[in-house]
Formats: sequence, C-alpha cells, structure tokens
Amino acid sequence: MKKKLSKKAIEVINEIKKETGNSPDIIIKTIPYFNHYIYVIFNEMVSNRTTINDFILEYFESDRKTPYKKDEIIKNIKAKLPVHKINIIDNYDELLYLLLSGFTIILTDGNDQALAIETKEKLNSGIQESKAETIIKGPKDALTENYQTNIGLIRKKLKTESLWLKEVTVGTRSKNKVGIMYINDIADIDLVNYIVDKIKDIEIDSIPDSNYIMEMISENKNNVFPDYISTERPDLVSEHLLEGKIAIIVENSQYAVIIPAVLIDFLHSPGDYYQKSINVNYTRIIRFLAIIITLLTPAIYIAITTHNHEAIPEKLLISFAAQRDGVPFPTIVEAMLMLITFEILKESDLRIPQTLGSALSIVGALVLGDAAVQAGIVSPIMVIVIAITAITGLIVSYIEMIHGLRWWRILFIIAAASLGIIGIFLISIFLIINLTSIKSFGIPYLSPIAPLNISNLNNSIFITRKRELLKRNVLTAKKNIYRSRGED
Amino acid sequence: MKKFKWLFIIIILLLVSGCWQYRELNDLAIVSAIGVDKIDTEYLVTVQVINTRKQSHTIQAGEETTVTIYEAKGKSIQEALNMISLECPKELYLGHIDIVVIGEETARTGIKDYIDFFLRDREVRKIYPFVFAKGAMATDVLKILPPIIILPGTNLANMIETADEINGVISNRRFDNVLDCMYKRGRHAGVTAIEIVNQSEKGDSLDNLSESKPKTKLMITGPAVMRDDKLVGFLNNREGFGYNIIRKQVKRAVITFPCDKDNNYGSVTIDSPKVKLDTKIKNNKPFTSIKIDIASSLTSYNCKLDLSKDKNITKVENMIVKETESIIKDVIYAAQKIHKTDVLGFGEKIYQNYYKDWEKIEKNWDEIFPTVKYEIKVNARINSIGSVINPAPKGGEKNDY
Repeated sequence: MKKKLSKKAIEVINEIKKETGNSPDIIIKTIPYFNHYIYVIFNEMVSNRTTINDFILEYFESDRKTPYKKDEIIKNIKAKLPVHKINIIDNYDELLYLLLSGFTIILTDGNDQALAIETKEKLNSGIQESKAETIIKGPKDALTENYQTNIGLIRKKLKTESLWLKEVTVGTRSKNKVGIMYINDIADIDLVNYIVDKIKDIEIDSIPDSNYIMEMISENKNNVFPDYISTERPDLVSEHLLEGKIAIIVENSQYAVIIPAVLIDFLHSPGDYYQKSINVNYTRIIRFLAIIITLLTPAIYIAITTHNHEAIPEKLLISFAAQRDGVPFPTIVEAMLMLITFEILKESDLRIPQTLGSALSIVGALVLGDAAVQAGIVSPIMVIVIAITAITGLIVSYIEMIHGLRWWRILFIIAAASLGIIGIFLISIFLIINLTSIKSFGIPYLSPIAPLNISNLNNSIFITRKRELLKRNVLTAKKNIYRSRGED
Repeated sequence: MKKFKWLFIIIILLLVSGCWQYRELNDLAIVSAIGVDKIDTEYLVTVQVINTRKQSHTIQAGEETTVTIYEAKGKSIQEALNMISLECPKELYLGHIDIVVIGEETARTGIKDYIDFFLRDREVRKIYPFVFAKGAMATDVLKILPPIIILPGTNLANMIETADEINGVISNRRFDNVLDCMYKRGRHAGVTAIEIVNQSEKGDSLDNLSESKPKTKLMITGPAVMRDDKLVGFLNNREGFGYNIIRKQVKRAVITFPCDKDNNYGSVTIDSPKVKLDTKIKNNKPFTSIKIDIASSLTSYNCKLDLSKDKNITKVENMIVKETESIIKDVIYAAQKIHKTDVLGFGEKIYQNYYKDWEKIEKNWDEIFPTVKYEIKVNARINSIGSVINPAPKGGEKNDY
C-alpha cells in the first residue's frame, strides 16, 4: 500500500527531507498566495530553471485576480498554469520519483494531492553521428542516452499511427523506463505481450544498458551467438519495425534492441539499403566470405601443415616448410600466441586514450609482428594468417557476433591440431547443429535458409532490386504481409 | 555444469585422438624425386630431398644446392628408404614427389616390384610423371642440376609437361596412365624416356650451371616400349610421334614435310588430330584400319607452289597426308618388326569388339601381332596459312602481296 500524502504541506516537506537525507540540491520555495502559502519543490540539478522561473514562479506572482477556496487551489492551478504536462499525485512514492526525474512539485495546505509539473532539463549530449555502425551513404543520426529523444527519432522515421509504444519501468532503484515499440498492424501481438510480461518480471535494482534486459529475457542463455540486434541507428530500428519485429528502448541506453534476430541479419549492414542492390550483392559476397575466412583460416592452416600435407600445392608446401624452419614451437602454440597477442592489442587499443592509439599500433603491429618474425618466434606465414583472420573478423559491425565467433575459432583450431581436416569437418557439424537448434523468440536462427522460405530469400544472402522487396518477413510479420497495396 | 557437458565431450574426444598422424612441416624432408636402380639383387634407391633451409633472403640462389641427394641400398624399396633415415635428419615425406625415374637396366629386368610399393603406399599420389632413363642409371639422372628451374625434380616434371603440351613425343606422362596401359588386355605400355646428354663429372655440381650452355643436361627422347612389366626397347622421336598419334595423345605438334626436290620444307602445327583405330577379324585374320583427320595451320613454308591458288593448297595438304602416312608406317614397322610388341593397342580393339575370338588368340597375340595387316587413311586440312601468302621474298624482287 502506497503511503498517501498528508494534508498538511509541512508534514509532506519533512517527509521529503527525511527520505532524501536533506539533500542540498532539493530546493523548497515558499510563496505567499492570497491568504495561504504555496510550496514549490524541485531538484535544481535535473530541472530546467528557465521553465520554473518563467512559467511557474512568474505565474504565481502575476495571478492575483480571483482568490480560490483552499480545496480548489490545486484544480485551478492545474487548469491555468501554462505548462505542457501536469500530473496530480497522491502518494509519496510517485512524488519522490517525479521529483528526482526533474518534475517540479507544488504543494498546498489542506489538500491531500500535489501537482507535478514537467520541467526536465535535457541532460544529454544531443543527437550525434553514429560511431559504432558507420556507413558510407545514408542517414547519420544515432540514438542518444535520452529516452524521449530516442523514441522521437524513431517516430520521425515512421509517422504512422500504428507505431505503438508500451512502457514499463524497470529497476527498483534506477527506475529506468523501458519502451517496447512495434507496429500494431504488422507485429505479432502475442510476442509483444510475452515480451512486456517478461520485462515486467525482471527484478533488479538498476538497468545500466539495454543489454541487461536482453540477457534477462533471452532464451539462449548458454549460446555465444546473439539472438537480438543491438543498434544505435534509428533508421535500422525503423526498417526492422516494418518487418514486424519489436524494438526495445531503454532509458539511459544509447542502444536500442531489436528482436527477434536471425543469423542472416548480422551479415547485413544498414548501409546495404542506401546503395544499388546489384552492387550491394558484391559487398555481401565479400562479407560472407570474410566470415568463413575469419572462422576457418587458422584452423585450415594448422590442419594442412600438420596433418594433411597432401592438400597443399608442392611449391606452397616448400615455401611453408622454409618459413617454418627454425621456429621452436608447434604450429598450434604459434597460432594461439599470435591470436592472444592480437586480442590483447585490440583490448588495450580500446582502453587507452585516442592520442596514444597511434603509438600502440606502431608498437603492436610493426615492432611485435616484425620483430617476432626476425627473432624466429613465429613464422612469417603465421603472421599473415592471423592478420587475415583479424581483419576479416572486423567486417561485421555487430561486435556481439564477432565475439561469439571467437569461441568457435578456438574450437576449430584445437580440432585441426588434433585431427586435421577431419577435425574441422567434425566441428563444422557441431556448429551447424548448434546454429539449427537456436531459436530467437520463436524464429529459427537459420531462417529463411533453414527451414527454407523461398519468399523471404529476396533479402537474405543476396538482395533483389528494391521494388521487388514486396513481402515482409512472414515469420515475424503477422498481418499486412505485403508492403505495397495489393492482396493481403 | 550441465551446460558445459558437450564442450567437455568435444574437447576430450579431440584430445584422446592423440594427435594421430601429427607431423610438423619442419620435421619433414620433402622428397622431390625418387630414382630406383637394381644392382645385382639389391635396390639402389636415390631420393632428392628439397633443401628447405631459409632460402628466401639469407642465402642467395646459386650459393648452395637446392636439393640434397640421399642414396641407400636395400632388399626392398621400403628397406632402402628406411636406411636413408640413418643419414637424413628428417622423416622422408613422399606425398609430393614430382617424378620417379627408373634406370634402363633395371627396367629391362621388370618393374613390378616398384609398382607394388607405389600402389601400396597411402601417402604417395599416383599422378607423378614416371620415366625411364635411357642408357643411364636413375641415380645419375637425379644428380644433374638443371639450369632454369631451381629444383631438379620440378625441372624434370616441367620438361615433361611442356613437351606433352606442345611436342607430341610424350606418352603416358603419369604413373596411373602407365598402369592403365600395362593392365589393359590387348596392349602394352609405352613409357616416357629421358637421356643424359654429355654425361660428365661436372653434372652434379654448381659449376655445370656457371656456363650459359651447361655441358651436362637431360633430354626427352622417344618413348620406351614395354612388354608386360619389362622394357624391350626405345622408339626414336619420329616413331614416338607416330605412336602418340595412334594412341590419341598428341595435343599440339609440328609436322614437317618436304615440298619439292630441292630440300625445301614446310611445317604445319596440328591440334589434337582425330584418330579412329579399329581392328576387325577378316577371314580369321585381324585387320587394322587407322583413320586420321588432321586440322592444321601452316606455320612455315619455303616452297615454290603459289598458295594464292586453291588447288595448290590441296597439293600441300596431300604432302601432309603423305608425310603422316609415312610416320605411321614407321611406327607400325618398329612395333611389328623391331620390338614385336603391341604398344599400339591393335589387340585391345579385338578384345573390345570380338571378345570370343580374342579369347582364342590372346595367348598367341605376341606372335600374331607382327603379321597383322593394316590400312591407313589420312585426311589433312589446312585451316589457316598465316599472315602472308607466299614465302618471304629474298628482297629486290617485285612482289604482289
């Protein structure tokens, strides 16, 4: 049972002071108003002072014409105050929550209700360019840490009345708003309700990021492959919403989450939609190739140089043998050494300030790579192999995917070192078993390829011309399957 | 714990395999060529091991040999190879051999022992070139350092491949082709042969390469004729060419024909002639007909016939026909009368078309073959005469082309 507000304003103020530990940033102003007092309470750190001065305090100064009865004051102020959002509240929990999120509270004696006027200060960095998912051509705006801005950015792209928003507050202490956006006449409403229920069930004190929500509601807890897209691009969110997918936006998180997501989504880039389809297909082939290369190159190199020598052309074999001459470690140790070195370089490059970045890359790339070869610790060919692995590993902009593939790469290497090419096939079988067994919120992870869904192949590995992309993904879209007019 | 169960199972499965067949590349001695000779009752096996010491930048080409030769004797080939491990620091790896050379003397005594070894070994692929050393020991052939391609084995294999593509003197380039011929009923195999030119002491040292015209070198000659697994003799280049036309193994070759009485010659380049070989039983006697259809282009011409007239081109075509017929007759003569061995595959056609008759004559085929009558029909066509019509003028004359 929520604690109701007291009729005496002074008691309410004392309660607020008690709950917040008499915090100095909570300002309480007492204004004489006809024959009684009005108390204006706000937190100066999260409220906009101009709004408070110009519209609230100014109003009480000027409005002296008609006196109100004591119990009608609240109603009258609500009707007349020139601000856009006023809530009437009657309990302490709500009062404190609104006060701390930037509302101005107005109390009067003799009323067991209070007014909460929205005077939020915009504490964000403004709309900036997307940094993690850069594209050559296309919109550049990215989501921000501000919840309202994010929803606004998405609504700006889809000005339809059927873009619906459900809101849940999560976090007993942080009280983050979580918005679930979907297009009502496309999306699967059962899934929406399921997600909303799941999010409501989350019990935690604080949600730092949208990723938290996903780890809590995802069904694939032990799987390295992500089953949701985490993006900072509002255009990508809107594209996926039109496919009948659901977007989750979390207050204070710059990343929106799109569910369900299948493997093929991670091999696409938002930039694909802003170029000619036929040219995008070339890029996509390269991207698919790169994924296979980054997964298998070290393993195949190890397999053919330690077990299946017959698989290499003779001249290459001689060259490999000459390069490996004098290297003291087995090939697998060499490979792991280089892989770990690369991961360390990658991590430390992220941590250090940008001004030191060039120094690190010089030391890392030139000194370590070249000197290691000169010193005979690794063979030059291994440096090439790991470099190819590392470069191709960065072709996908979804870092979750890349980091998931790392585990499989290691498994492939171990298998290659112990069984050769047979081992690579063995692990490939396990990988396929793993991929086929994942479901992302009810959607098979390998769809539309397995199970095959021919009508959705127009934007899977290849993308057809834009005017042929008429059908939404039938697994996620439940109504209005066709994008244009035409039969449904 | 349950969730890691599968991971554990996979890793344990991989680790208990104990790295079966794990061999690091730098623990292997990559064998480029093998030579086999038989001395009395023992095999002398010669292997050419590629020198994989850091060749790339530390040592300039020419400072040291790119291969090392190991020799060992043994009662079987495997034993001899095993003896080599006493002097070679790495394990011999036969998976990538470029060439196998068999000495002439050895080939005359029969080669089925090596065939067995190379068929049985899992590591060796069966598609390497297989050659006989004419008038030499295999071990001498392998010791010669070649001028152009740095690895002797690769050099030899490349020589054979190039000759196969553009010369027409190579037959049954690969080991599996040879086996194919040997074990088909009704024919014997022809095998590529090489000989050493100017054999000398210098051939196996780098001095041989310090001259622009190396003294000692290797050369491909006409194919060897085998009866069953034994070498019986060699065809010369002209006969070898004829043999390859009949066996449909010519990809590209040159036919040179005399075109008048003053020792003037013309040459045509031919592309895979169409050949139809057929043997019929007529009056209880085998009779072979050979039909050859040659499409060619004139590449060299020094004759007086005016090629701007169509009938003269027909005349030139007839010269080609005559020359080809003579080449074919030569090789049939060599096979029937000199070697008395059916390398040409006349018997094979009887086996294919007259199986019951073949069963009767199979045992005596080697006696019957030299008496087989034959007819040759050649049809030649010149498709192109090149960029000029008549022979290049001496100069000073007036010409109208």
